[in-house]
Amino acid sequence: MRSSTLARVAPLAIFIAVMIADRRAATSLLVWADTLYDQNHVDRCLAENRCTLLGTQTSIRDVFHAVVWLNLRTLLQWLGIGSTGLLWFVQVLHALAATIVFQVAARLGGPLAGALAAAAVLVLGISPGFFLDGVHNLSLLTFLGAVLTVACTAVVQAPGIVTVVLAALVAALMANVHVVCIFTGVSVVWSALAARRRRFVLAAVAITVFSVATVGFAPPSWRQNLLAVLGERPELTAAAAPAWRRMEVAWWTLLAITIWVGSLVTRAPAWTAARRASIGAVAIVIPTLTAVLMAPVVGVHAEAKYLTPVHAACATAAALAIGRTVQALLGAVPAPAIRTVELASPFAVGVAIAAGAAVAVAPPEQAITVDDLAATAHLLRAEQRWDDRQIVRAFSTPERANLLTGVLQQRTDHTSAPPQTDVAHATATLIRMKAAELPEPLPPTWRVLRRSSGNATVLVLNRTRLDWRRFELCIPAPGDGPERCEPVTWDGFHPLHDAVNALPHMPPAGVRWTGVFRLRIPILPHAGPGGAIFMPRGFLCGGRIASVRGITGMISDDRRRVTFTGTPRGAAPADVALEWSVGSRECDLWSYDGLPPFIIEGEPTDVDRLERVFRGRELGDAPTGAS
Amino acid sequence: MSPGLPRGARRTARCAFVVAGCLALIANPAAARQGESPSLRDRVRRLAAGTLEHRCFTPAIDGVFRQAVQSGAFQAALGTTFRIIEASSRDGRIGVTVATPGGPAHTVTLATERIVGRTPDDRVGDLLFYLQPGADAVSSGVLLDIARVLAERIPDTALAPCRSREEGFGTRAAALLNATVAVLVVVAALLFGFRKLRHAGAA
Repeated sequence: MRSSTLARVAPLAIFIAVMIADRRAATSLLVWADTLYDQNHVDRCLAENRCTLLGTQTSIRDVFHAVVWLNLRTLLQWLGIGSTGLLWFVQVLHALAATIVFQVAARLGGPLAGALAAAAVLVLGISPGFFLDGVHNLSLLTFLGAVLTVACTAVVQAPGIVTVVLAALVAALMANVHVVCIFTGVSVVWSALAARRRRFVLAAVAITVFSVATVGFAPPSWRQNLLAVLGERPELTAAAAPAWRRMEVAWWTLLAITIWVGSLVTRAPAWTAARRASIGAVAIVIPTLTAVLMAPVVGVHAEAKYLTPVHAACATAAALAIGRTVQALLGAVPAPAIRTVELASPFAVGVAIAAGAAVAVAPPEQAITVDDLAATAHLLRAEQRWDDRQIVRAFSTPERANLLTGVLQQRTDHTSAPPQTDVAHATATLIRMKAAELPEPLPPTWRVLRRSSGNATVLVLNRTRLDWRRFELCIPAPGDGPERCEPVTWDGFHPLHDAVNALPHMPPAGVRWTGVFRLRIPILPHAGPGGAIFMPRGFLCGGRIASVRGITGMISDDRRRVTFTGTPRGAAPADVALEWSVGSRECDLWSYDGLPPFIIEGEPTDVDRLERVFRGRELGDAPTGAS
Repeated sequence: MSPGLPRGARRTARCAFVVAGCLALIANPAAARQGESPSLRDRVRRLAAGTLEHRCFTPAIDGVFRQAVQSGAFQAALGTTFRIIEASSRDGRIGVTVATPGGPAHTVTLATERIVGRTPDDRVGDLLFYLQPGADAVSSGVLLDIARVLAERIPDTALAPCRSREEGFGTRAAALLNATVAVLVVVAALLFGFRKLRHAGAA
């Protein structure tokens, strides 16, 4: 095959390799809080013609962003692209990002640099810092960062008004996808200042276009942000954390800069050209990297994932530096041999990516996907004839707030079916477990919705022993004062309407509230074999059984399980009190979501089976059979 | 300014002087020296708040409306056939509904902000009036008269910066257009950028 043909096919090889790797990593959209809340905005925009101009809340209170991201998602859904298509869209953009940096680096430093940029650094060398299948605004930024790398490199290599305007527009667009990209404005100005002539005019154009376009994409959002910044010091919703862990970008950048500075000892044309070629990429990386590294100093939470917009530029800068160094080291090797290595390198790297790239941080084994929720919604609505009201009250799962929102978003064609008469006493518990944990034989109340890679998604349909329609919330007063109690119902709870949901009267979720609360829930009269409650712990808000009234109940020594007898109709009212301490070791701030925390309740045999699964998880050695 | 400087540098310096001059006017350093002036930050914040912040009606608006009704201020507008059957306020809007006995009800909305996708039917000062679509000419005249009477009686103290931030919504068409522009920007930047890089590489 001719070398020119190989060079033309190389980008395609990179694209296909990354697509293979991405599809191997994920084929179904992960249930992720941001994905669901974004979906609420999209649904409201398309269905009610009310499209947010403010965007979504950042981790800094009163600062908003992501209007363009939400609009893009709206456009995709308007075009008929659903959750499956959304994952494909993000994966295609990720593969395109790798292909773009390959092209940029290959044009500036040859195929070897391109291969290094596309693969060895961008895909293999930098961890995304988030799940590839948990789609949110950061998912777009690897691709947009690659586009900005092209734009800023073009500003340095071929400066002109149009080049600068386009780079500034891309930066403005990125700033409206994620607020951290506000620093890309500095990158465009830096690139303009690196031009050989008219640098100050170009810089002024960059500043003007970036400022006007950033605000122009979402004026109310930036108005709010300006007021938040000018007002009182923005309240941080997350504790400041050191940002040094998993920041491969910092090390790759350090390597690129070291080689760049080291090369100043020579004025050889090849090195001079290499230094100039990487200015655009370095100009993108440095401002954002500096800001993220400095963020904890001013009390702002920073993570490696906030460097996503500079991944492509970092890969390009590092690959150009390494590629040039390798070319210099191979100077003594005959030119045809070098050419062969260069032409082969993209394909070798492509094979490495397709075969073994860990392109995403692996989600936990028990992670639920949107396909799970679609199956759950179908089963509850079409088969069990549950309406939204019943789903809100009786659908239970460890990540209740998120998954409830996700289930309600799944519409089916069977909502018009009349509800069953006894549906008020039904409950459904969704869990993902290892296939080996499934009981043999499978109980009739257990429905396996999906199996994949040794795991199974199970919906346990049961009869509840608790009357969740109306219960009592009690919060002990500080000191010896009387505790404050008030009734709680599900009225006024609309998971699809609000970005952050909490049941009215329940303590707020997040980091704003710590303390003890108690729920007193009526026990339904039932003449059968009685019931049981188990309160799991681990990666969820764990609590204890405080008391049982009006019925014979046996509470375990660790106060995490109670078994009670049947209660014939006409018997005295009975209830059970469950207690949680938000902010404690058993229920940390992040695991409490503003709803009654997850418990397992129902017929004793089903509770026994699920208790074994959850106790096994707590111990870290799941049982191999829960019959 | 030194004529030896490059033309671009001279332009940039002029821009910087203009910006610095504006900031100096805002900061009013003379007054600040006398200890009478708030800080620059406060001045900028006030300026921004005055021009940027949404305003909503405070609970005092209920008293204003009640007083207007009790004093008969709307009587001339209502005449003998119309009567007010409902009035409500929320955030930055007041809705007043009138009807004739046995006739259909029609509403006028007084808003502190423009309602996206609609053209105001009238205004008094900063308050915009929007008639409910479908109102006949007579009802519309009555509604606008009522709105004018009410608007003239609303004091500044009945308005305050909004606490709710979700009052800003755009239309579906605007969102789709916004996204389309974003896509076009990306495509243009890619095509133009690669073309420039190819030419730069060839050179």
